[in-house]
Amino acid sequence: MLYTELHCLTNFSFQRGASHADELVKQAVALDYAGLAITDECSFAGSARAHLACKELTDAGLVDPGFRLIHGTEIQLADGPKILLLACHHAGYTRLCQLITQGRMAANKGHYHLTRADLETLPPDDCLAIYIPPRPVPDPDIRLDELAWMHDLCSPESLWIAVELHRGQDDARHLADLRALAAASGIPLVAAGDVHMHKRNRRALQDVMTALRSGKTVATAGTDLFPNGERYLRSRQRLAAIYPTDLLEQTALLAQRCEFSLSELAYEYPYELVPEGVEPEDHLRRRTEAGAAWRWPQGEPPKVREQIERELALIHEMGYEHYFLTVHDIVAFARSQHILCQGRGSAANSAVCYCLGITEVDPSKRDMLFERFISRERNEPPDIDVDFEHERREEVIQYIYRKYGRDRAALAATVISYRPRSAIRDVGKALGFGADAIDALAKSLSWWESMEDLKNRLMEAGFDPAEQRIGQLMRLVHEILGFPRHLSQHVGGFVLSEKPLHRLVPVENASMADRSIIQWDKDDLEALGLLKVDVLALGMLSCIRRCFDLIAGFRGKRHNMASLPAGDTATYDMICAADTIGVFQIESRAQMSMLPRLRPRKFFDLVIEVAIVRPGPIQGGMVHPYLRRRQGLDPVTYPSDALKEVLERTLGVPLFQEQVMQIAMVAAGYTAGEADKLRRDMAAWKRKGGLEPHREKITQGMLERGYDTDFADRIFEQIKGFGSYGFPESHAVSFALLVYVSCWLKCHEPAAFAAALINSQPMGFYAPAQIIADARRHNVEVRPADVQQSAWDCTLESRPDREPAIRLGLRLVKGLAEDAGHRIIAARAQAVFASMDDLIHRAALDRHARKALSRADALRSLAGHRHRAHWQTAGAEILPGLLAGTAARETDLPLPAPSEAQDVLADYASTGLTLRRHPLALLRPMLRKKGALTTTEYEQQQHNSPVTVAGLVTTRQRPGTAKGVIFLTLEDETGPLNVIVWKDIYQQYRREILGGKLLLIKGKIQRAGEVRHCIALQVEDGSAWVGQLETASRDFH
Amino acid sequence: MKKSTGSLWLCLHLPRLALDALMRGQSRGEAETCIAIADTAGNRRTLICVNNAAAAAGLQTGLTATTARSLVPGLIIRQRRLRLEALALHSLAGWCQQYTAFVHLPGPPPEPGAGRLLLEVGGSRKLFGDLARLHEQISRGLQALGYDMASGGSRTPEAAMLRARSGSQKPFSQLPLGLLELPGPALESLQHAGLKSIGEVLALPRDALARRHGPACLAYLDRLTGRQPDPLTPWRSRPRHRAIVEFPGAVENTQALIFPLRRLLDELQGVLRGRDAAIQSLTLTLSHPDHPATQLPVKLAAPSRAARHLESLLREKLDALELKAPVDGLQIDSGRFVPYSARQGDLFDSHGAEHEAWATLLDRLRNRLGHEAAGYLHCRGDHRPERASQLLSEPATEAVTTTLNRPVWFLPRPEALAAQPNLLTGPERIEAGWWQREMRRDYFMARDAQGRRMWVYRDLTQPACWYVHGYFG
Repeated sequence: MLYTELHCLTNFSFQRGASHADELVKQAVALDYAGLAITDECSFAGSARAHLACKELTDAGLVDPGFRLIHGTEIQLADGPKILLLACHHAGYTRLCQLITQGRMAANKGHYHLTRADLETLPPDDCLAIYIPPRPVPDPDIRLDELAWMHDLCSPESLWIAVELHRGQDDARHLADLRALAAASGIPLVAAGDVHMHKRNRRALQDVMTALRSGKTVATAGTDLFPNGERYLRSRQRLAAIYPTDLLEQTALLAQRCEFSLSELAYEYPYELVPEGVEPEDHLRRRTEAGAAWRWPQGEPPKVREQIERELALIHEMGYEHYFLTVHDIVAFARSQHILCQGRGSAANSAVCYCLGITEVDPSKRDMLFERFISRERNEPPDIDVDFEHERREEVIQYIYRKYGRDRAALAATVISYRPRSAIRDVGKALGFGADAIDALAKSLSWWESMEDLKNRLMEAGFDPAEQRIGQLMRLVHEILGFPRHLSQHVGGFVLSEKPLHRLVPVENASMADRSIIQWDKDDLEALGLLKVDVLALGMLSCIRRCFDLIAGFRGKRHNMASLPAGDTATYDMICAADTIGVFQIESRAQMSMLPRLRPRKFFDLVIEVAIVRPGPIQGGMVHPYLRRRQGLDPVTYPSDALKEVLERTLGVPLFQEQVMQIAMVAAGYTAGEADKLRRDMAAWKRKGGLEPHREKITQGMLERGYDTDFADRIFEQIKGFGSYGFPESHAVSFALLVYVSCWLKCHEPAAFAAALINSQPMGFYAPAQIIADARRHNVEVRPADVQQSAWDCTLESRPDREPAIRLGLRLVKGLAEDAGHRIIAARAQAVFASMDDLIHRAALDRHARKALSRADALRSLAGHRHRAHWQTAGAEILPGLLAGTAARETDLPLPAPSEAQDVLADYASTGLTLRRHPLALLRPMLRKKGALTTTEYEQQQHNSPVTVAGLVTTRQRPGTAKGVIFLTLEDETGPLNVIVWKDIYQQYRREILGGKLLLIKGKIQRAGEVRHCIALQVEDGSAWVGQLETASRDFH
Repeated sequence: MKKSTGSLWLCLHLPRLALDALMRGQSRGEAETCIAIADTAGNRRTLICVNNAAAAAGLQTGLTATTARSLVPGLIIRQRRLRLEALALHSLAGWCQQYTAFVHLPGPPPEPGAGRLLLEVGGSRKLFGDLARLHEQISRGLQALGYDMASGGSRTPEAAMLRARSGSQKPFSQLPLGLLELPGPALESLQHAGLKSIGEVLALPRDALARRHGPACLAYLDRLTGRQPDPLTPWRSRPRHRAIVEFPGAVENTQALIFPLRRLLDELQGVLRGRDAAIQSLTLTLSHPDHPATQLPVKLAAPSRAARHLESLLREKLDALELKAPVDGLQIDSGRFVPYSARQGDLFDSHGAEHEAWATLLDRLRNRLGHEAAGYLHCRGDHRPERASQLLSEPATEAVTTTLNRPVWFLPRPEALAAQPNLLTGPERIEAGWWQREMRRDYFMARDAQGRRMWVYRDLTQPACWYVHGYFG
């Protein structure tokens, strides 16, 4: 007896389905079903996954080629019955995509709304319709009415009535009723299972889903839950015992009619990018040649010419012209609007992309091998991510929508999946844990810890893992991990198409107004051959463009990313000294501590630096080997000659994602396709595992080719470590260029760089206070924000015969609205402010703006000091029209000027920084008594000597790779210093470390070359000392 | 109405009302568990009160609940209960009437989680000696009831309240201006202008102040200094008493209930003294987590207000009681107050006697057979037959209908059958309750040898065992 399940939900029917699509497909195959229909509720989100799972099984020869995966959807009409619609062929699928899109667009994110009227346009023979009779039936007339409507809708041979039996009390009667109905209406019955899970042991999880959906707990959900666990893929024997044979056999009839497979989808690029009558190939060549002439006015070097020809040939062979033209068009738009952008990714680092302006990595200047990035054999679709200035990306997005229209451009989805914390929250809620207990539970599983620690952490938090409820929680949390929770929009992955997108895939509303997302994420897209362009936002690009603008304004010389001199010694010297606060990527602590050891001297060193300090290589245990080899501590060796070619650039240590793939091919005999699969699985394994098969395969392959187990194990561990963070060389190259450009600017134009960086906030690792402190340490004069001087942004002011000074902008005045700031500047452009009243009146400053300005001491030039500024602005009145300027004059109160300490504290409170003395300088006499060294003194200490240091805490970090360790950055009047707190000390001083704003730390200094760390042994919270300054400031002078 | 002129005001400031109102059942010694009260504003949940143990562990008010828990993992955090705080303040107001007839409940002080009472004590001084002694007496009394308290006395109500919050003996004008009960922005603005003390604020030109902070600011300062009168309405006592305490952890034996009970009864005694009243009935309610509460009503043969007497009556009840579940809170509810000295009057309230006829029948049945023997049958939405219906002592507020065919005569305890009965229809599979006790059964309609239609099931975990679970009519 053949059976095809026609009604089956995956976990993409959120809060209903309790199994992954691939679990369902595998189980249906294992049970020897003839087919399986995936019918998620108004969604095709699970279909792509099911299709992939099926394809994998087919490729592996594990499934009968006759097995039919059917795509359909379950729809609850707002005004009518619940029905299933199954796609017969491509046209039917397209219509269903359209219908789902329509339903989703008519409702808020996550919901849909469809009525009978919406279905009446459905062509009768493209889809099969199955009527799901309500049960129990409140009124038989309803059934007849609904059936009559369905009858009108479809041709009789495309309509069925579903019989779904789950061992309920009235099964026999239900069947008899439906038999009668079938006889009366002439519509045949068919068996279906209303499947919610692949195996019955997901019943508890399914109940949890139901409880979450109804906002109750499993104990209070009552009859919202299914009465039993029969909604799983039942064996054919069981089905035969429940359903009459004719109903089961009927399923084969439907399955036969559903011929559509997702592999039939044919994606087409937008065609308007190529003028009519021109071949895409010729058009791309024309653009490339024009670009080459622009890049190399004197003619390109022969090496580059050769490369262009090779690349164009390859692009033509693969048929990727439209893709490159699409990206070119977007980039050209940005360029026309003076929006800085840069591409990265496997295809971006080509000579063609340089000519097209997609990337700034000059192939003639860099020692890069471009074939590495685009490969005929791997048959990967080209992948270019383009970063734009973060504040102007929206303009680019709006351009894309304008150009292609809302129905041909949409964002890819990002599937938000359950992670430990969200899993605990939801499962805990469903199991009836109180809010406090859930907080405590979620807390006990902090983000840097794995599920394995859970048991211990639970006991620490006072929960008993042996208790039944806790046991259930742990089991269910484990099951739900990786389940999709909802669809969200991808950060910038646009899918553009020639035809309306809803013919390929349903489109739905995103939570952001006027954004729509398709129901598939980037892996699904890639697997189905749809191409996306990532339009991303990058703060550093804003900073660099602003910096170029500031320099052009001040010096009259305009730089661009490609024009800066390469290989600048002063820049590399600065990098080697880890003097990199504020620059791109290599500003983080981990990066900075690596710099003096890595000592980058050329561009490729920066590429390595960008790739190396990431969770991947560290977890894989690979950073040290590279460093040791580079420093000459370990010999450079290669496991084999074949691998030497792959690894020579990185001294025998695999650092890039591409290398791992190449190793798999060269050393373990992977085919190009398998290597690509490995890359995909690497990115996904944290979410859903699935790397173990590769372990066997790689080990096996490597042993066969004469490598030892140890090397194989290490390679595999690194693959795991790469996970979703693994950095491809193709991205590292583009990032390295931004590193170089930002470093060059910091080195040669420190004032412009700091000003541009502050004007681009929020971005990067450091707050304005640290950026300014760093600039001042580099002898840049910084002048305070003042209503008489400042623009909205930070600006450069000239000093006779000196480098420019930074004038802080009004943007740093906390709480001042941007339009109020602009009113001040506009009014000042008419005439300087004569008095406080003049300012308030002409700039129409409301109470809020006045308060913000006086708090920030930006009225100093008018009021003399903060206290007077506050008193005067609080009493100011803006009188309308004729009365303006007639406000009663007040006699001046003799208000005392604030003390230095009061001013310093007020500066911190209002702008987060001070240009006066550092608070630690005020506290210094007291800190001296406590034996604290300044940062400068501390840096002179010998390795391992005991030290006492104090400073404001500027950063606290708990890197995922260093368990239980916390890194602090303290800052005093002479500079920042780094503190490491090991786990046991952290446990002891948790409160001080997490809560203290100013810490006094006793410890010892550790030096490794230029790098110094203070290892904390005792921690004292000195936050209160700062406050005491205000009242007893004189004691400290 | 009472004019403030010529009077003397005492403010009782309760800095931890939110905590004490809930947790005053604990003795100081046993309060080693860290307890905090949290309140939610927006989506931030912050601590507003911490007990001594939590303070000693370094917790302060203002921390977010999440941070607090990360600092002290075993911390018990309870949500603020405004209703209980109000209830506690009313009880205290009644209790304070022992010392003065004029008690006023002003709005809450600015500190979150705190509360306060105002007493006019100008006249009471004659009875209780000087202010210090009166204060001493009240302070000891409140401490015995489990409240933290600071007090302040002054000629005006506002000044008394400010003093009580200040905790300082400095001259009034030297106190920091932050203590003034002015709106936050006004205080901030004055501080930002470099002013520090109340004296400096009082010395500012009145028109400059009014211009910046409005007439309400001047009016407050005038009430504070007595320049303007401050008429207050007296608190009116209530005809019954109710008090509630909770325990941080559940208590498993009745002995542990005596201490908190004593506190509640002491308070009641004070309230009754203040009213010059007594009571004739009292109900003690023990609340249990996940269980209906236990009620212990006591009727007094004669009106009384003696805490010890009431305690001994309740102790008897408690000693006889077998706890069906741990106790996590106590509540006492008195009957209507009667005049203390008055003779026993019309004790039995006749108005309540008009019941519907069948309710009377229910009462009779219950009186004869015990309270639990009769009740209202109520359908509940649950797949598990044992839980699908329930006997309630009161009619349910909402009805659940079911379309399932269930036997009218449902056996509370299924009875094992020797062999598989003669099955008529089925199976109906029920799998539910895994979160408590998993049930997996196939139910059938069956007929026994006498021809009765039975509802039977087979336990899927032991498929050979058959049980009868009910009979159809």
